[in-house]
Amino acid sequence: MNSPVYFITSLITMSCINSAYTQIDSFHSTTQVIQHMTDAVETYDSFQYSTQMRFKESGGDTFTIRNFIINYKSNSANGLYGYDWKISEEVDSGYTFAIMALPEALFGIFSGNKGIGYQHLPKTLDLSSYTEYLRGYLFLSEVITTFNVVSPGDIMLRDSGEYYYLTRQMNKLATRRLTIRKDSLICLFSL
Amino acid sequence: MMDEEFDFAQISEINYYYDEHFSQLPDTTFSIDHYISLGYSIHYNEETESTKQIEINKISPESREFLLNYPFVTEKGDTTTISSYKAGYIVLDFWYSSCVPCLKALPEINQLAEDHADDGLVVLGINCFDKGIRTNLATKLRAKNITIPLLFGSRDLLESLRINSFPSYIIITQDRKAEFIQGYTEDMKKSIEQIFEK
Repeated sequence: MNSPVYFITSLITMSCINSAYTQIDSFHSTTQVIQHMTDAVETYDSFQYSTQMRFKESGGDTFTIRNFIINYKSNSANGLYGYDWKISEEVDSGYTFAIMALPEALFGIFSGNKGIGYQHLPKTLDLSSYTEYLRGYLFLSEVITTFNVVSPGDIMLRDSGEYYYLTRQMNKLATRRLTIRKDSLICLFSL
Repeated sequence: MMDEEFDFAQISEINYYYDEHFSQLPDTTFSIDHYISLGYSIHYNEETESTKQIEINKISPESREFLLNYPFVTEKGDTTTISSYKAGYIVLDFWYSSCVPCLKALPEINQLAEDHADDGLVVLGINCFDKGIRTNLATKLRAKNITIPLLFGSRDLLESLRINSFPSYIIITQDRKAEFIQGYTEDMKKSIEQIFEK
C-alpha cells in the first residue's frame, strides 16, 4: 500500500486526430475544460495511440525512455474495467511484450518466444500491481479522473494561447499537470 | 509476466501522441485467435502467491475491533464509528474515486441498501483515499442518486485489514462478526440475499 511519490507531467497532444474539429474560444473555466476532456474521451468506443514515458533517476541528468502503444475498446462484458485494453511495448532486441485484458482473462503476450500466458481476470483492482500502475498513467480516462474528482478550486488553470495547463497539487511533494492543446481536445464537443 | 523492476517513482514525464488512426482499431487487435494464427502458443499461468493470500484473507479479532472503533469522518466532517450503527447487518463497501469498477458498482450497492433497509441492513461507503475531497465527491454522488452514507478514513485502516484491491466488501453480522468478501459485487449481493432468505 506504500505508493511511491510521483512527479508527473502528462503532455497531451491531439493535433492530428481529425481536421474537422472546431476550435473553441479561450478563457474557459476549469470546469469547462475538464468536462470537455472527459466528453472527448467518452466520445470514442475505441481508440489507439502511443505514449512515451521518460524516467529520470534522482540526482541523475539523463532520461530513460519507454514507448507504449495503447489500445482501448469499450466492452460492458469486461466486468472489471468496462473496456478491453492492451498495452504493448517494444522491449529489448526489438521484441514486443503486451498486456491485454479481455473479459475472459488477463494475457501476457511476448513476441520473442511467441508465447501467450494468461490467468483469470482479477476480480478487483490491485493498487500495488504493475498492471494497474501502468494503466493508471497511460489511459486517458484514468489520467483525467485525477482532475475530475476534485473541486475546480483545487486545480490551477493556465491559458498560454495554444495550450491549457491544468495543475493539481496531489500532496506536499507531488504535483500533476496536464498540457492540453486547445485546437483539438475541446473541439470534440461544443459548449 | 509483469515487469517487477519498473520504478514508477522515477517517471518524470509522459507524452501522449495521436494520429489520424486514433479511433480506428484493426479487428485483430483483441483477438487471441489472431496471435495463434501467427504461431503463438498459449499456456495458463498459476495464480500468484500474493493473489492467493489476498483471497483467503481473514479479519483477525484485533483488526475487527480496530475497524469497529475506527474514527471515520463523515462527508459533513463529523466523526463516527461503525460500532455506533445499530443495524442488524452492515455492509462496508471499500472504494475510491478513480476506481472504475467501484463506481460502476455503487448504483447496485445503493439499490441493495434500499431493498433491504426494512430488513435492518445498512450499507456504508468506505473511502480511505479521498478524505480531502470528500465534500465534492459526496456532491457528485448525491447528484447521481447514490444515497448511502459515505465515511472517509485513512490508509492505516486498509493496512490493518490487508485490503489493497478494490472494490472490497466486509459484511458485519448481527453478532458483530466480520466476513471479508473481495471482488465482484455479485458475490457480495449473493451473500446478502442468502442471509435474508434464511
